[in-house]
Amino acid sequence: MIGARSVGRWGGLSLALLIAAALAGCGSGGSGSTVAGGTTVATRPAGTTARTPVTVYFADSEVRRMVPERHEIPAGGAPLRSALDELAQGPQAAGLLPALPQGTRVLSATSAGGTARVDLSQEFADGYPSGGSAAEIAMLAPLVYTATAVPGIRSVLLTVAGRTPDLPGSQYDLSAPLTRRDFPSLGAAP
Amino acid sequence: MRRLALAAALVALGLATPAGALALPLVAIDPGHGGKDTGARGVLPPGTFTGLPPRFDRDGRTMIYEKDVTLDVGQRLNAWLQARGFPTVMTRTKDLAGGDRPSTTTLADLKARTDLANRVGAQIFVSIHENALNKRAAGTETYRYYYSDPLARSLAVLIHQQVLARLGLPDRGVRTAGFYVLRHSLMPAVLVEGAFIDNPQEALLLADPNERQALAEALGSGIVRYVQLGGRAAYGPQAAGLTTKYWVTAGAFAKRADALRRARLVQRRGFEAVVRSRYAPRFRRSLWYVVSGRFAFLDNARSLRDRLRGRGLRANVGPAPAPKT
Repeated sequence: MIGARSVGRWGGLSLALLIAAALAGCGSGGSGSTVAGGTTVATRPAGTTARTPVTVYFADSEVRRMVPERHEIPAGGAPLRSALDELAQGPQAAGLLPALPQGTRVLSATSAGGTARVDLSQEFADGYPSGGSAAEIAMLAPLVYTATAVPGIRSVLLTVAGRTPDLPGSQYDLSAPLTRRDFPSLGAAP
Repeated sequence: MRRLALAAALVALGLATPAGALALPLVAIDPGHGGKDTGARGVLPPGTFTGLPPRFDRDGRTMIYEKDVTLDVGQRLNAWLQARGFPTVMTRTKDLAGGDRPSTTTLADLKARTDLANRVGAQIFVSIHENALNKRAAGTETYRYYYSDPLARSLAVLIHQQVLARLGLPDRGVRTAGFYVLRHSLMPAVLVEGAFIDNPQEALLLADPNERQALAEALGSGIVRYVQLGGRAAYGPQAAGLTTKYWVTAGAFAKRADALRRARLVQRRGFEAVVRSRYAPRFRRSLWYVVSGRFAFLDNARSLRDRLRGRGLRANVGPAPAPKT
């Protein structure tokens, strides 16, 4: 099995395409690796306990596309919380950008009436970009794409340590829920 | 002599305005960030001349701030447009938050910008920004609101083409986004990310006053083309169909005192509220409405309604009566 790191030399875009292709062609998952176009893309090793896939989105290295990644997690957890915990862990493939600043934890994730309420730790605000649409979209879009990939969820109301964050440099009104439409269509599968 | 040449050029462009014809549309120029909000930051080689306020980081490196570039480009665009007869308004003219106010919150800063443009009846809104990501990403991108009308689409495309042609950077396309200044402005609005300020090559370009002038002129040329192509439609929010069509009410009362009491409750829960009298056909009488917001776009109105309801308040979206003039 070739590790994700050695796949990095293929370059961001081609890797992103390979992964997208791998995911599109991937069935129920659960094995330790997925074969796509002769390249092996590593996923986390399957344990002895039952595992279930969640879809987690990350931006490619230029924020031109949103790329879904299938992560294997222990079965039985709440889908929204599990997916966001995986988001905080970061991408498995090289060439994709981490969505949340390092050290960001998901403090809570609940949903009601189609809106997910996601509370993140202070590291999110501390590591927020000071400006630049690309940087901001690379952070918020994966969060919204990942949460809204969970059935029944259409929008995300974001808080940091329980409050609407004031993020200098942001172009978004975070006191209102965000939807996928708040981000450019980045060619992601639904 | 120069003025004459200019007049001749304007006639050639089809922009000359004989007495009685329409004046050129009012352009709101929005230099992004400002005050405590530096915007994105880039690093320059030591001693690079910028013609901008000198900026250094803690390690003494020469820096370039997005807020300084956007203000400089905004001022250059302002001068360029005024020289061609356009009336203009700038959302900030100093190193301050929107409306030339001290920095408070990010949301208040953004709101001050669109409030200003909406209040003065601007007919075009151009927000100037520079991009950032990972020091490697490069190029120009232009944003419009996802519900924007055909006029805003053409404004975005025409400005984008001009900026691409003048700066010659990679084309990242015309994109849609729910940015605050795009969704809350009542006129066709675009947000231009000219170049990546954290990319060393593009930071050098933005540090060059000649390149910033070229960027400003590209924005201006895009506006000129939009006015030429848009004809009468380019002249107003009414023509564009972007008036405040919806309002969000948090209760309606027979007695004004009851409405005022409710308005205070709405305000205590962190929302805006004013009391307005309006004839209610269903009840065949005038009622006192607690109005929490007016919007051009239905999704904004619904969003406020849902937030009011989320705080335990009654709320409805309805067609807004024409504002009193």
